[in-house]
Amino acid sequence: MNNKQNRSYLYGVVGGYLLYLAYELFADRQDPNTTMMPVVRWLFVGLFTVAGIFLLIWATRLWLEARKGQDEEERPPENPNAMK
Amino acid sequence: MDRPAANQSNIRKADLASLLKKNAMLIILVLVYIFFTIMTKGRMFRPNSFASLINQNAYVYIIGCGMLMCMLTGGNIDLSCGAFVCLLGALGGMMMVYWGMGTAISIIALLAIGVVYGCALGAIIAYVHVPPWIATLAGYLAFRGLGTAILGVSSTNSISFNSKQEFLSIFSGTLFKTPEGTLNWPCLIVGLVAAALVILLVFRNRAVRLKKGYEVDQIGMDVAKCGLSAAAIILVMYKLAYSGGIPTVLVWVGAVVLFYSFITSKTTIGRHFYVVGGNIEAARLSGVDTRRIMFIAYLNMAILTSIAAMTTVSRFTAANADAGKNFEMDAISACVVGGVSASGGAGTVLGMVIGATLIGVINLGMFQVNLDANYQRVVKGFVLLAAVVFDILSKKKAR
Amino acid sequence: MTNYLLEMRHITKTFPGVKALDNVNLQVEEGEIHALVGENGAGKSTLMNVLSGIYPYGTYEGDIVYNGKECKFNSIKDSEKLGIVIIHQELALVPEMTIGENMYLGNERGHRLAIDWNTTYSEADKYLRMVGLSESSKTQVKDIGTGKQQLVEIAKALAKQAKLLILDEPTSSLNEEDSRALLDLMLGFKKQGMTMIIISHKLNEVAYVADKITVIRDGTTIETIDNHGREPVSEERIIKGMVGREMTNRFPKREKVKIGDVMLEVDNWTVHHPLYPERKVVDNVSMFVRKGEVVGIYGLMGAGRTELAMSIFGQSYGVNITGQLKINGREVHLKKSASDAIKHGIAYVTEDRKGNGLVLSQSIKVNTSLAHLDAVSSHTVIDGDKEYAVAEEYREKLKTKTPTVEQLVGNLSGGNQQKVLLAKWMFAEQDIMLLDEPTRGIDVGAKYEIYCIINDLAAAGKSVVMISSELPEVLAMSDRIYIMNEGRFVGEMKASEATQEKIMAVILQSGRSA
Repeated sequence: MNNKQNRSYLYGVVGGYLLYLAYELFADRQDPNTTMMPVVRWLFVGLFTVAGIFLLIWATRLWLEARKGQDEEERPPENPNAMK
Repeated sequence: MDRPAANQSNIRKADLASLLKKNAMLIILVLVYIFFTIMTKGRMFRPNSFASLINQNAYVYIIGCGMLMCMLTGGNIDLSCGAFVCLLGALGGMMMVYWGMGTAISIIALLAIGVVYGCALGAIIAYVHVPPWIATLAGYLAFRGLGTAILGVSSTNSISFNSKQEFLSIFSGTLFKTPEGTLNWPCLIVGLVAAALVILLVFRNRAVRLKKGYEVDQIGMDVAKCGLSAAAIILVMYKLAYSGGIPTVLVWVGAVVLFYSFITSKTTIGRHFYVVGGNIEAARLSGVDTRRIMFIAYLNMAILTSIAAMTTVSRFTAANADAGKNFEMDAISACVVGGVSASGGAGTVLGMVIGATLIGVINLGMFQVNLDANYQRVVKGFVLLAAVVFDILSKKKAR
Repeated sequence: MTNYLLEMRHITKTFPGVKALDNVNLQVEEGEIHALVGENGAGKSTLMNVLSGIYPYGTYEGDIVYNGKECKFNSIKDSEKLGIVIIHQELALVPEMTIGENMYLGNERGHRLAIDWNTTYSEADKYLRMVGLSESSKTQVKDIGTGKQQLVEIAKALAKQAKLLILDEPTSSLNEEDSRALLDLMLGFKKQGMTMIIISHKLNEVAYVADKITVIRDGTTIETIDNHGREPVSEERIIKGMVGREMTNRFPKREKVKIGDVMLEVDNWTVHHPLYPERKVVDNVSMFVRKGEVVGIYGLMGAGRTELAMSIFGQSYGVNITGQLKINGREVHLKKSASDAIKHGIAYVTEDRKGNGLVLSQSIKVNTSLAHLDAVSSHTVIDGDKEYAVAEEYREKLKTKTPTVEQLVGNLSGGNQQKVLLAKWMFAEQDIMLLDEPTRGIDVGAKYEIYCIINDLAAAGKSVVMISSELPEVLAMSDRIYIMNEGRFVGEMKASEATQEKIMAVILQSGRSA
């Protein structure tokens, strides 16, 4: 299931990007020009970090599932059924 | 066979609920646009905004078409396009500004480089079976460094294209330029002609299908569809007419979008893309050359990236080290928001265009209300999150 | 008033565009084996998915009463907590893991952080004995045959303390011997008080094991047949309920049998396994098919029939392929591509229609034209209306049940999906049709329609190769039968001289000793 793997990459990329956004939000906390209140900032940093990590985990799970599916397909054909 | 009359059985019933669902993104786009127009006290409705929207987002539409084709094959993406834009810009700068090569030959050379990269990338992915995300990751990591190194020849790490008006005029600026605030007739005329063509096409199509005895939608639907499209086209062109004329990139964007629309919806190769993404084994066993499709997807992507590189350089009249930053994410976002499935096999050019426009409107709107950069990040994150959630949900429903 | 363990009342479930279940009622007594039969798409699996919580409360109408209490399941875990365990058609075991690990996947013994393996394995062994397996639970799943894997699934269900066991087509991948063993196991469980629901197409098995048989057709319950009589209920009686009419002949007669020259000839064909190249999956096979002829290839699972067909079809399977192919008398060397095979007039109708035969996310129309797009396009531009007309033509010809050819193939029942798959290859106008298990997982009524289609193909002069694991089908439909076992052709007989016993004898004689 190549497609499932690809979906997992996409989700992973988005998850990573969310973490990047969270980082940017965090890095800007000293900026005097911003109108964002510290409370709000931390809220979104937290939210995006959690969402980003969650997406990364989901993507990894998807990837593993897809991997499992692939391995099943490549299994050698079963021996003709002979109940010993 | 006698010409059958348009009886009841020929006419497809329209159903409001499914109509809304199918056009959900478009409706959201309109609503968001209206929202921002109100928030900016009408500034979004000014001719300048329309021009900005097109000039700022041209690259998304162009690269988006390429990303769409890649994603159709099974959720594959190209992480290298942004960095490649930087590299091409640097190379273009060297060619045109430092070595004094002619415009035409430079354009051809840049396209050729795109083709070479595309073939190499396509071959690695399709025939050596390297997963696309690894293959393009290499470009993502290497190209920007390479481009920056090349740009190091200038002390400012950027090459100015100010002297290359000929080149700039091909990819940026306005056609038949007139001062802002005055009506640009060629622009308006193009709009009217385009609108007329749309109406003509829809009704000619309808007549032909009726004659052959095939199904048609209710006439109200057809009228509404082409009426709204025509109105939209005329509105946009009318606004642009006051902004100084047709933005040159619009010609490029229009050509690319129309071309890929046609390919995806009406050609056999377009069909092959969809089935490869839908079920690659079934496609293969039905005689589709699946490796060739993958190859073409990435070759195509590289060529479109070259075009986008040229429009980017033109827009900034310079080749910069951070050109192309985030291009791949923008294209992917446009696709995902526009309903292109992350696992392949579904998605349309129109969807991507709507997605790109929606994101473009949000970006422009946030800029015009002077939204704090941090809030802009928040919005960006939420849009992406929403798109992913939407994708997950639509997968669940399909089960 | 009888004591019902389970009552499903007025269940209605709708999917976009189709009502899968319409006011279905099911009553299962405690300690009985209750069979659900019906055509594909009739709704049996959907009903069981509602019961087990796969379709959670709120996505259907009606109620489920279990042990006197109304149930509102949100997930499989909820139904399993009450002892309702469903075993699906597709085995859900991880081959790399041991039996014990598989059995307790998601159900681990021990604390959150440390799984207690000793308890796991000893308990697993206990359940394995209950299903009659002598293996140790430390054996890896991939090392035991499908028959035993199926039993492991049952042991897994027992480990979940199942009180109501639902078996969805439990013998679909088993041979006769293993199927019988499983059915006897079910009868054994019944004696111990277990209640079971079995969904099956194999009516002889249903008649053997079920106390009551509920027939579902088109999403509604038609009737419930009592099987407590002295004689088990006849298959004809069940079929009548399923199909709504008497079916005197399960197989249509072959009219105008006109057999011509040899169309496809395969000589000394040997194919090696792609991952284990020393292993021969097809060993020196020689066969031929004439125009207008139906040749059956019978064998047990794992015999190599699919691999044979796929390797002929443009080397779509296997490495190190040697041998000769002659089409219409001329020797051909097919390149490693399906499209080359197609150009030479070969069609391969896969055995796994959902896995690699059809693009489920696309419409019937798109799937029908897929192998022959140039016939509905000019200079690579597709003529949408022509494509639509072609799809409609085949819809009518094959009697595919669907409101429109724009319907997604994934939403069709198995039988109708198979028809679309056949339509695709019929539209491609191929002369050599390799059909791999063309009626697998399809109900009686649709099977008959497909047999008619196959007969029509032969009558039109095509060369048909039918791979099948169903002996009655092979005997009734073929002109000649090849018997395959462990990669080799071990027998060939004219259908008129063949019997079930003769064929089985050939296989048994040819089997290598274990």
